[in-house]
Amino acid sequence: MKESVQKSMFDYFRLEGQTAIVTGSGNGIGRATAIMLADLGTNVMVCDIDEDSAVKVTEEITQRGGAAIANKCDVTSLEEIRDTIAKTVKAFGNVDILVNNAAGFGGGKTFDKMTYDEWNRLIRINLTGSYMFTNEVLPYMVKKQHGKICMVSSGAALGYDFSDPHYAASKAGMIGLAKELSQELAKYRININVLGTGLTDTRMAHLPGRSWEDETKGLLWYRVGTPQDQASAIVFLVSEAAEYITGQVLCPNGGAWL
Amino acid sequence: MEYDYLKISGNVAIVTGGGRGIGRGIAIALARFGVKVIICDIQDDWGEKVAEEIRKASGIAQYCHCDVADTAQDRALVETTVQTFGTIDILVNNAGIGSVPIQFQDITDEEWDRMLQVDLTAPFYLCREVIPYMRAKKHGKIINISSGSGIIGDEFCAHYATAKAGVIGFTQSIAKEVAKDQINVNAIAVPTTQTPILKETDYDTFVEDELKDIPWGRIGTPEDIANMVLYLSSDASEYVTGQVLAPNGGRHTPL
Repeated sequence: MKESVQKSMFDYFRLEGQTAIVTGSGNGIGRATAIMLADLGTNVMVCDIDEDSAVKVTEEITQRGGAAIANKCDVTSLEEIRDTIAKTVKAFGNVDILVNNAAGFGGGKTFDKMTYDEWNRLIRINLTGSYMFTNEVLPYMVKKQHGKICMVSSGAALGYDFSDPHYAASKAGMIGLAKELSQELAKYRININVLGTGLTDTRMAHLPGRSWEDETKGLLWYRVGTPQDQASAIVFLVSEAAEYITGQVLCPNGGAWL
Repeated sequence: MEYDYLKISGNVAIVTGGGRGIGRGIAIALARFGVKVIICDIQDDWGEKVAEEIRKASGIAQYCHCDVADTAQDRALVETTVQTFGTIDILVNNAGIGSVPIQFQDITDEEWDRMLQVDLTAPFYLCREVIPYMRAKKHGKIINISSGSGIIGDEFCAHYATAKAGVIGFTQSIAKEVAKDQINVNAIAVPTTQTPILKETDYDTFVEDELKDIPWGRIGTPEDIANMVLYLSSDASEYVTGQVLAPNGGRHTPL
């Protein structure tokens, strides 16, 4: 292919010079996303409530030749969110991409075992945390008339995954939020989409008291999902290839709900 | 730093209706990423032109005449593909027909049958032909081009909406059947898109009307759809199957 032609096409999937914040990227899907984005040339803010894990991921990215910085960020703290964004802008000049990935899990609680405190805790992390982080980066994206936001939700939100009432509700809330914001933000050229994750081999999916063998039995797809499967879907959604996609839910789940 | 996100170079694809519009965009995009493309169409001059365009840019493509509504021609198309490029990895069921606005009670039996034959039965024929090859190599990517009409209906195009809704049911059904064979089957609900077929309609009035429902403020382009096809044809979407995706600028879609 002629170089000029090839270049223009490749650019859709290249993210060189973009700046991304990936929350909860010290482990699992967030980590895989941070690494993949960095491999594609994105400057990445790796933030996590566990600062050590975030630092480790930035070291890994640096070793691969990418650009990343780490910060401690508990997404229930507006102060830490603001600090993370400020440090990102200071280091890389802007924020183009936000991946709201940080999440807590309910640990397999049924309705009769739930408490109001537990409900409030999880809604604050998963839903309010995503809302606050989005709200805080929007001024930068609106000013630039360009931005890509991805909410990492879950199949639990869509009712095909037996989880916990508060986990399902928090993840469904992220979809409603993204769909509404997609309508408001289109005029600023800001895309907001949702990842509806299927069963993925991460720390969170290995529930205490449940065997992994049981969890992965009877899958439709020939194997269980990997963090890279989810990361590559996120990368697609935040790339220029997805410029016309907004308010959508993409579910890498191996056909789990069919 | 080089990172091959899509990893599809060297794969072999069939793009039906590749002679113009969205199909042409898909064929060119796949070829740009190193995919060997068989373009089929019923308009030989259009299809030949696209294949030539790709070859001139150092891509690999060949045109093959095929009326997808004819099962014998579909079989021949797949045989030709395997003879030419040795295998088949990607099938994009893009060929389709539309209709002028028509009240459903005015649709003739022939119009109804023709619509379902081309837009729904043809993808079934072609999937049936390619699956054995994909199953044998434990790798395959099928992308069926549906439409937003197949999800929310289409006033004055009931036969079109019915066929496109059928494509979704078919996609999800066979996705289940072939998951164990590592074959992904997904559908794209295509929005109103800038194509020659659209230009043949009462363009300005129609597009102006459409734009009221599209937050992104423009109609789709063949590139928008081609990018979605690239993702769904690639290893990047290996865990994605039985899905319906709608690159539609934020238009209301209950998905």
